[in-house]
Amino acid sequence: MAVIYQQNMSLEEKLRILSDAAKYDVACTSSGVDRAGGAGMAGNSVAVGICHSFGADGRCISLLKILFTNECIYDCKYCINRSSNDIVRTAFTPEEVCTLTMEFYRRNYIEGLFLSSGIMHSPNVTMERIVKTLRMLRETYRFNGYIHCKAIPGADESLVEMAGWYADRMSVNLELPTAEGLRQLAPHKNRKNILQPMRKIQNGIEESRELLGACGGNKGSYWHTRRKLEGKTELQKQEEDAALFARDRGKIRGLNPHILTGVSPEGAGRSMSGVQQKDAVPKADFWGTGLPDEDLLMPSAQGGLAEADGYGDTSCRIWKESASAAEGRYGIHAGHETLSCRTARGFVPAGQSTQMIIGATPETDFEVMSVAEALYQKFDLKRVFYSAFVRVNDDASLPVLPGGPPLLREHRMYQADWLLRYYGFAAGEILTRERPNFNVLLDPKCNWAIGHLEMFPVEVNQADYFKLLRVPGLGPKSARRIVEARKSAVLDFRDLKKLGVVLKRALYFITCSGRMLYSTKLEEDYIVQHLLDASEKLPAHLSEDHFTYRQMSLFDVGGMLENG
Amino acid sequence: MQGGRIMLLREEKLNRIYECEDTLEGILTGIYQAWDASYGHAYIHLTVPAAGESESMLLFSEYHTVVPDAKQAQKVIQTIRKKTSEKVCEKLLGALYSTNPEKADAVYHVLPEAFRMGWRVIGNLADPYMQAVFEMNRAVRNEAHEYLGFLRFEEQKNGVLLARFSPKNDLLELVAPHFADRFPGENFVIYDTGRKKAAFHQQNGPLVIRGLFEEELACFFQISPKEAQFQAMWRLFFETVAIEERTNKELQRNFMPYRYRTYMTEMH
Ligand code: SF4
Repeated sequence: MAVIYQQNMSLEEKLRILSDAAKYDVACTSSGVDRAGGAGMAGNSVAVGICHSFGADGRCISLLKILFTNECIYDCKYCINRSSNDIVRTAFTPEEVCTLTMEFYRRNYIEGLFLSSGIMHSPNVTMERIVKTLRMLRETYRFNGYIHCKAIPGADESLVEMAGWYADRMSVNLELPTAEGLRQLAPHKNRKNILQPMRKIQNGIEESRELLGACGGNKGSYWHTRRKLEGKTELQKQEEDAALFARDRGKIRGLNPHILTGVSPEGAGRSMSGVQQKDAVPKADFWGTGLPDEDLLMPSAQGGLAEADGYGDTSCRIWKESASAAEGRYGIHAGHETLSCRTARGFVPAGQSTQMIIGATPETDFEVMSVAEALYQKFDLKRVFYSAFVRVNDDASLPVLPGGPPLLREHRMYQADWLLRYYGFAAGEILTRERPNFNVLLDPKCNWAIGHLEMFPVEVNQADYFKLLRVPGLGPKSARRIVEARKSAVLDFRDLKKLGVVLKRALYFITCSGRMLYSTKLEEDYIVQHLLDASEKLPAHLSEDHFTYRQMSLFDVGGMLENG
Repeated sequence: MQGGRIMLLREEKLNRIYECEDTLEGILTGIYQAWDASYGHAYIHLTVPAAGESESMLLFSEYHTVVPDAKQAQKVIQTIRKKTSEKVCEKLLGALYSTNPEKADAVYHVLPEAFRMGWRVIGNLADPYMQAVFEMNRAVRNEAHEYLGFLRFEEQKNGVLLARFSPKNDLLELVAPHFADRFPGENFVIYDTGRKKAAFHQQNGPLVIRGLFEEELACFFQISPKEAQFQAMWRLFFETVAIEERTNKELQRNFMPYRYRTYMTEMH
């Protein structure tokens, strides 16, 4: 392992290296929290999100996306920063990150900061630097804009919590969809280490909502869609959640009560260096037998998802111990000042997200989407991001994808993700064990519809909202408009067009007052043929000439054969 | 023959054209006065002649020049809000920032139907005036939202942050408050280069929008010593963060059309 560590590097040079190393993280969105500005502070936040620029790859740039350091003690095969790579290493100081963020922000280049990091020295040391930086940015520089930061797997829970009080969004990357994939390509990571901080953050958010009300942040779209499907009011569903959560509360603590009340615990004011030396996170048997990681997110042998997520009594006991061990460490910056966080911002109010790399390991699309669904269900994630694998390292354990990153596959995943979050589809409806991969030619919703012709045609003047949503060519907006408009009039096809329905796709699947638009056959081959003619409008990067079937990975081709 | 008949009809009752100043206040005042005249909606038209433009006078029309009146404008807003809804009101007002010269007329002619239907008018896309108004509002709000991200400030020698832009629609009033909220502690100016007016914000002070004097312009464009360095770093970041294997200029152009790029630091 060669580490070329450069002293006295210019800020420009650091920025070049540390933004280059961060660019594969896709979660560049500033959405999810509305916060007005305030006197003496710089910044506000807008829930719908603002894109500040678009890079040459067409991706939105809204955050200063950087690593704190590209130094790393781990050796994840797919990562440019892995310890075995012979590259120039560097690190920002917290002041440098603050300066860049503030100066970029006031020129309106960015909405805020996205801070990730390689693991320098240990997870705790790394997490501590991140927390220090965020604290400085919020409290010294009075930055009130958007912050997204990583929770470093394996870092002490008190540090993760501290970060959560300063950040708007946090994420722990799942990296690869299966535990097996992790074992192969990220040998220093494991599912437990990744899911533990995710759960911690989830519970923290839940508690913060309970204590702080609306400013604790709102629920994700998946939650709202399920709620509507179940026909519940927000209050009903919240109460239900609260009951579930109360049962769980003793087991996994979310927030340190001292922070919320602003009263510092005994012994606060000790310097963080205590953590570094003691490295309080218990190793190997931390989770005892309580957490069978393979099964946590994967479809079980029976086909459903494993219900027990493994956070049993064993883990509960250890959590408590670990929690009390951490109590004394809240004097996070070296001084003797005791900590009182501003809790008005809420704890991770924009929720948490995660990311999976697609195409580095041979999971089927069904497996990936099942994992995503489980993450939405069990961890209340705001977003799951999918990142087409880019082969930056020449390593025998990595697949060679002659067509480049599997962009179409990634695109299908975002479409399917949309179906989970807004349309009320289950992963097992979009794909199945028998047909585990996306159809290359049809989007997942059309693909589902032609496989379920017995559900059609749907009568537009009667079908409920979620039935309408399942019609190709209809989306949440047009379905909502239909439900609204038909209260005062019987709708015909002309009205549908005005309401935003894409008729050339919908016409095979709907009737208006019992009539179809044309006399069409409700038959698979016929419809597929016509839908393909009225071809799907793929985003520019997928429909351009440079896209050919060659660009699909081995797995994509597999999917084509399965579904073709 | 046909033309003659129309002329005859028109002779019986003249069209009345209200020429309004192209501001929210100006147009709303025009609406107030036109409505107040009870002359018959079909014979009323509102226009917003551009400054210095002598509109070709239409035959058989009488012209009224509207002097903006804050009180009358306020009354119109209150009435719209009361008789329809906050949402409808927002859409109508949004349309008035449009660059479309028909906007004042369209909003005026939406009102009878809006007052009849109340908030439900929002679903009434069959009405061509309504459709036009919604379309204008949509275009205005979209462009305003884009500029929240695409606007770029440059630090001047005196510490003032200056942003220039040249939007299609008249966006200063919509865009500037966002930045006043965001940068309460900054002195900043947002300058609409096409309309030659600007929003001025003083540290912790109010926001003022007015025309810009030549002398004021002259003291701009002297960037601070640090400015070049941060611009260079932003360009560097912009270039580095794109993934080469995914290069796609067309997608970039879809999201960020050329017309927005004039003053964007990273595009030069
Ligand atoms: S932990 Fe793995 S993915 Fe993260 S920086 Fe280190 S090598 Fe890269």
